[in-house]
Amino acid sequence: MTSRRRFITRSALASLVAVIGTDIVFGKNLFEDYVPLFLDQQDPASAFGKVKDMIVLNDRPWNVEALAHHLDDAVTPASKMFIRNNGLIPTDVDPAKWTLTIDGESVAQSKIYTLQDLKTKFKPSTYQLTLECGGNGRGEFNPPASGNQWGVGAVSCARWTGVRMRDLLNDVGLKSDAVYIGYYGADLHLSGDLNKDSISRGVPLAKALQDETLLAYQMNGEDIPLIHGFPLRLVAGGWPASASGKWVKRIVVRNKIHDGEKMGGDSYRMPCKPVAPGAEVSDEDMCIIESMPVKSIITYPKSGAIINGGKKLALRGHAWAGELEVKEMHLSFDFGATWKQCRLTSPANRLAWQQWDIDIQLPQMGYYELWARATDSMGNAQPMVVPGWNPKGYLNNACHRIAVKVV
Amino acid sequence: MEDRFIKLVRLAVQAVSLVLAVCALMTIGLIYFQVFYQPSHFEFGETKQLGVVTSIDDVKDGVHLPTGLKVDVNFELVVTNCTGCHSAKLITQNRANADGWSNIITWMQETQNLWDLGEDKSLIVDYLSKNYAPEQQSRRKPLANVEWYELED
Repeated sequence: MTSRRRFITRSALASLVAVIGTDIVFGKNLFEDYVPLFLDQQDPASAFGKVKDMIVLNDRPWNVEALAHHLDDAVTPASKMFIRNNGLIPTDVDPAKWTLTIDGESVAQSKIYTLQDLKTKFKPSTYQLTLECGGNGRGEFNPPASGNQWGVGAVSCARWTGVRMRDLLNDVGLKSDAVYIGYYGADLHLSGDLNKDSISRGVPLAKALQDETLLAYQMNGEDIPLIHGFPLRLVAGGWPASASGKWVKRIVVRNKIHDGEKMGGDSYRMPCKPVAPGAEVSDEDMCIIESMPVKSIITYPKSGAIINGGKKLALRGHAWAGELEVKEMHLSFDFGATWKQCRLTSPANRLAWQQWDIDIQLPQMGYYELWARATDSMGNAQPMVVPGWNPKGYLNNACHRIAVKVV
Repeated sequence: MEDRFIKLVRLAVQAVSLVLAVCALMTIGLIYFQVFYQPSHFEFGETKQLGVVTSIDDVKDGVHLPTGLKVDVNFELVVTNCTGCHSAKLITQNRANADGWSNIITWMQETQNLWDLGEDKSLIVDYLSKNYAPEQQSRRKPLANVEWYELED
C-alpha cells in the first residue's frame, strides 16, 4: 500500500493524475458516509441570504464574517450577520415537533416544553443584544493562533425576542446547589458521530438569571433564520457568542461549572494570568471568558475612501463593552498622537451596542489612517496594539482603523 | 468414424464458446468494477481506499483550485485525511510550525474523531509546516490591500 501512495505522490507532482487517492491507515474506523470534501457548491449569498462580499472563512463548518462597512445598520439584519458554526447545520428541523427539555442535577422538576408552550405560556421579552465571537480579531495574533482567522466582522446586534431564561428556571425550580446552566443543540458533530456534541457551553446562574438572557424564538421580528439557530436559541448578550447556543433542545442546570464540549482546554478560555506570546499554558491555568471587552468599529466610510481636500468627512460606527456600557468614543487621524471625541448614543437597552459619529477635517492632502477607540464605564479603553497573546487568540479588541486619502 | 468427428467438432465449439463466455463475463465484471467501484464502501483489512477525481486543469500557480491547497509532496494525503470532516479552508487560513500543526492534529485525534494516521502523520505535518508556516508580523501590520474609491456624498 505504501508503494501505491508513492506512485500517486510522484505522478501527482509530475503530471497531476486523474485520481488523487491514498490509503487511510486504520480506515476501518471511518464512518460509512465519509466522503473527501472537495467543493461546497453553495455560497453564503444563495445558501443563507447573505450580502455577496461577506468573507467565507470556512465552509465545513460554515464560518462567514461581515466586513466592517456591512455593519452600518443600528440593528443588524440577518443578511449581514456573521455565521459561526462548530458543527453541521441540522437538516430536519420541524418546529411543530420541537421540544425543549430542562433537566440536570440541580433542577427541582425536569420539564419538557413545546415551542407553542414557550410562546404562549410565558411573557415574551425583546432586547437588542450584541453577540461577538470570542475569536473576533484572531487573525492579528502573533504567533498565529489556530482557528478561524476572523477580522473585525464577527459581531452583530440584532433584536431578539423570546422567553426569559429566568422565567423557565423559576418554572422548573432550582435546587440550592445550582450554579451553572449548559445548553445542548441539534447540530451534528463534523465527524458525523451522533454521540459527540459539536459544542455545549453555558453560563453561570447569575448570567442566566439576568433580564436580558433569553431563549429566543424570533430575531428582528421574524423566525430566527436556520443558520442562526431556528427554532430556538439561547441568547446571552455581551458574552462570547458561543455562550448563545443555537438549535437548543436541552438546558441543563448544573451544581458545578458546566463541563460540556468546548467548556475546557483552550476553548473560550484565557490564561488566568498574562503569558508571553507563544507560551504553553496548562489547563488549570486557563479561565473561562465571561464578559467581552470594550470594542468599536468604523462602519462608514468603507476603508479606501478618496476625498477631496477641504471637505469635511463624516464617520460613524458602533461601540460596545460586554456587560458594561461605553462611556466615551474617540477618533484619531495621527496614529494616536491626538484624539477627538465623538458623539455617542445611549444603548437601546443594556447589552446593546451604541452608535457614534464625528465630522472631521483632515489637515492636508495625503494618506491617513483613521483609528477609533472606545472607553467603557470602568475606564478601560481599546489598545492600539494587539492585546495580550493567548493560546487560541481570543479577545483582540485593538482599535479598528480605515485608510483614507485626501486628494 | 464421421460421427466421432462431428462429436469432436461439437466439443471443440462448446469449449471455445465456454472460454469466450467466461472472457465476456470477466470483461463485464471488470468494466462494472471500474465504473461502479465505490472506494469508501470497500474495506481491505486495516485500510480503506479513497479516490478523488481531479485533473491538471484544477491546478493553477501551484494551487489545487477545488481545495485551495498548495500542490506539494504529500498534498494528496492532506486532501484524503483532512477534508472529510472540515473544509480545506480551515487549513489554508491557519499558520503554524511543525509543533503547532502536530498539536492541532493530536487535538483532533483526541477530541474530534480523527483516526490514527500512523506514519502519515509526520508526512502531513511536513506538508503543513512547509506550506502553511507562520509569517513575520508586526504588532499591527500596515493596512494592506486597500481598494481605493472616490467617496461620494
